[in-house]
Amino acid sequence: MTRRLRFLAPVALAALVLAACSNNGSPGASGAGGASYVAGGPNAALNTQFGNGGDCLFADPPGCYLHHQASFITSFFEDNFPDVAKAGETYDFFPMPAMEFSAVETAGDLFGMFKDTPQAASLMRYLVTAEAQAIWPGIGGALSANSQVGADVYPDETSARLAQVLLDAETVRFDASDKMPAEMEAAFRTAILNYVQNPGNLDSILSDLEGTRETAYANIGEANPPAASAAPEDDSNLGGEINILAVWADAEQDAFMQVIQPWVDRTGVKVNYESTRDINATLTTRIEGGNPPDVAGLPGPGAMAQFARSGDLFSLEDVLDTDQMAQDYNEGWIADGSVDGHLVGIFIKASAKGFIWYNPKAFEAKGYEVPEDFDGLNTLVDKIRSDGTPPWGIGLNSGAGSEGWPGTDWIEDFVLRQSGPDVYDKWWQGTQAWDSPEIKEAFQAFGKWAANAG
Amino acid sequence: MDLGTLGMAIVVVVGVPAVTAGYALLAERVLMFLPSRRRPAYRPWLWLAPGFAFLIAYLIYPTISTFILSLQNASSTEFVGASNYTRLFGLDSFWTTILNTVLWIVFFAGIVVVIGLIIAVLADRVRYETVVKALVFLPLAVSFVAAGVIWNFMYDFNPARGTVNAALGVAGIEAQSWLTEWPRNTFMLIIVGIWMWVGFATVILSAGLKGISSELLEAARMDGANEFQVFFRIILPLLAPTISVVATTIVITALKTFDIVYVMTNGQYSTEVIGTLFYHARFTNHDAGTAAAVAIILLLTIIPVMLINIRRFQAQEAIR
Repeated sequence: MTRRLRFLAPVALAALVLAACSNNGSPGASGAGGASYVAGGPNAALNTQFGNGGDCLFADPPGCYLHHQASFITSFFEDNFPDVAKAGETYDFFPMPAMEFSAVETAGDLFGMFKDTPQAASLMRYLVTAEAQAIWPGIGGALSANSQVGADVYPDETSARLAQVLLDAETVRFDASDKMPAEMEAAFRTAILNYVQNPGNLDSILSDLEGTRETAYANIGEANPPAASAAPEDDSNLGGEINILAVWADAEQDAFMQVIQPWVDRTGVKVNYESTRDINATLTTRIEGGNPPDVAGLPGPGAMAQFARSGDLFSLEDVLDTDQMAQDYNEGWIADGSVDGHLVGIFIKASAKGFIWYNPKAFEAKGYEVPEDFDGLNTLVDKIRSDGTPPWGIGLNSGAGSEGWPGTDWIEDFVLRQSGPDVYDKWWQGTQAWDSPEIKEAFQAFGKWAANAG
Repeated sequence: MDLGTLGMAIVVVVGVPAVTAGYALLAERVLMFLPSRRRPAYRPWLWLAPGFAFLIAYLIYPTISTFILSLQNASSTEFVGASNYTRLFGLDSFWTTILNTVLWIVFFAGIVVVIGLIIAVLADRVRYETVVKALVFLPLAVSFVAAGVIWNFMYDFNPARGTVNAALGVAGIEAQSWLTEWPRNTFMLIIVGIWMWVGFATVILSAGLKGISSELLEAARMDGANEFQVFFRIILPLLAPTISVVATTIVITALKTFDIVYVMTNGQYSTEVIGTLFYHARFTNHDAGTAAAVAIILLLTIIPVMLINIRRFQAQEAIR
């Protein structure tokens, strides 16, 4: 008898596995009331890489008509559809319409100095100049935070208009998730994925986030970063070498190399460039191993603040001409690069977020028009859906350590537009409860479209 | 390679044996000062001393300092008692992590041993045994990261890329999101681990199988035992020590699981295991205290497995 039991145990276990692996009623591609709001259903949104989220705009017939993404998505359109994607013809944008409040969300790639060397100081001084800042926008896929960079450097009219939106905006707020402590930001991204998968669990997801807020913001001390020494006034033929660590690879790495090429030609410094997608872990390991790069891309203002508080980042007050900086940069950008009044980060490039991308040709074929306001967008979305096509293309997947971030942009757009900049600031600063109605409202607005949770 | 690296290489290749030999000679010289009667009592300790020093420096000291870190706050500046542990124990996600790790141990180790044994026994009876073993062993030569990337494509939601969903599509079943629904996603990750490690179990078990004398099996068959009886009454008991070694190795591999989960889901959708939990605490959240607490919990769970293994070894030695 016992022998038979022993034989049956593995069979029973196998049956259990089969039961667990069988489909437990996953939300299908189409909801109960007509077509899904999102192409392929919420599962497709979870499984699609962010760079492919807007691919359905270019399909024939279109798999979706709208895509919410930052300004840099244009380089993905061009890469994915080199023959089809043309700015102004097959893709164009309109800003996410205002709701109770009107605002623009921005983000950018920060650089910081981890070693006090003349080469590093000289490079930082070069990178903030209008000369350096104009190069990447000229290549495409980037905006500049430097106000001296005119709209004429942009390669096409669409990117020039994107830059203009940024320059014209009255209320500009930096990407909130980037400004949160790393633990909070990671929990926020995880919450996006869990919410899209199980929109019914919103309350418990928000109360988990509220629990993380209590620990993530604890023990935040005052930053007192050491000041880096100024680079020599004349840095031509400076020589030596510099180690740079950043996230950019492939096309983006080439673009960055073009940005620093004039500086390399002038100073003759040998550049050792290393690229990593998991910049947070790589930087932490190298700093703790006593082997930081000279300068490095920073994961975001939140991580920048942590490195400034631990004294690993150098303050740039002596390196940069602060008067010139104040002239060239909107004070918001300087504030976003500062921690407790110390300037530690500079923006290599900027992007504007909260844009809705569409295919003008496909719009024309169906007779859809760009909406004037949020009600108009709502009506358009419902019309596209009742015409039988999912209105939105969404891609929430991304590399390890950044999954779900496109969803955080959606939530930030809604918090900023529904509840205003004050709530938004309290939120990333950690004084706005996650389970408060303001944040819940934003999740619900996102979930209606991304998770068919209407 | 610049001169500095070359110099370092020479120092290591020549220097390490030189220092080792020098130490041995020095130890013998020191022993000369002792009366010859007492030399045997001291000699082993002198010879073992460098080994113990390394053991203390690289194993004991880090363990103790990890334990101390686990009682401190995120930046290791002050003691917080057991609060890192109590906070972990209070999190639902922590218990999901533990449950996933248990699923890994039970299913990953269990299935690898069973399939490995089946392949080893069956392959033993065919002429092309080496080919079979080589094929089964091949995935172990693939790095974890590459395996994760390959299987990400296998499981891809889009049937145009995802092999599994394409196959389902042919059978008329709609595409499944393999990696986002718990607990299915954990089993999908375990399948990747099984694919990689079955070869290891097969090779070791097959070697153990060769060690069983064929006369014994012959004798059993002469006495009228059928093949099932030969397998369950003779092969299995004689193979038990080998199976236990394989099982222990695989269980420890399961406890240390990191790469597959990190590459394929990064612990999202409740697929977190102890290894990725530790990584996220340390490198995403910059929380040295919680990370150390997770490491201590991992250590405490591995110790019983190690003890069982050591007991078995000792029992085997005693039989000999």
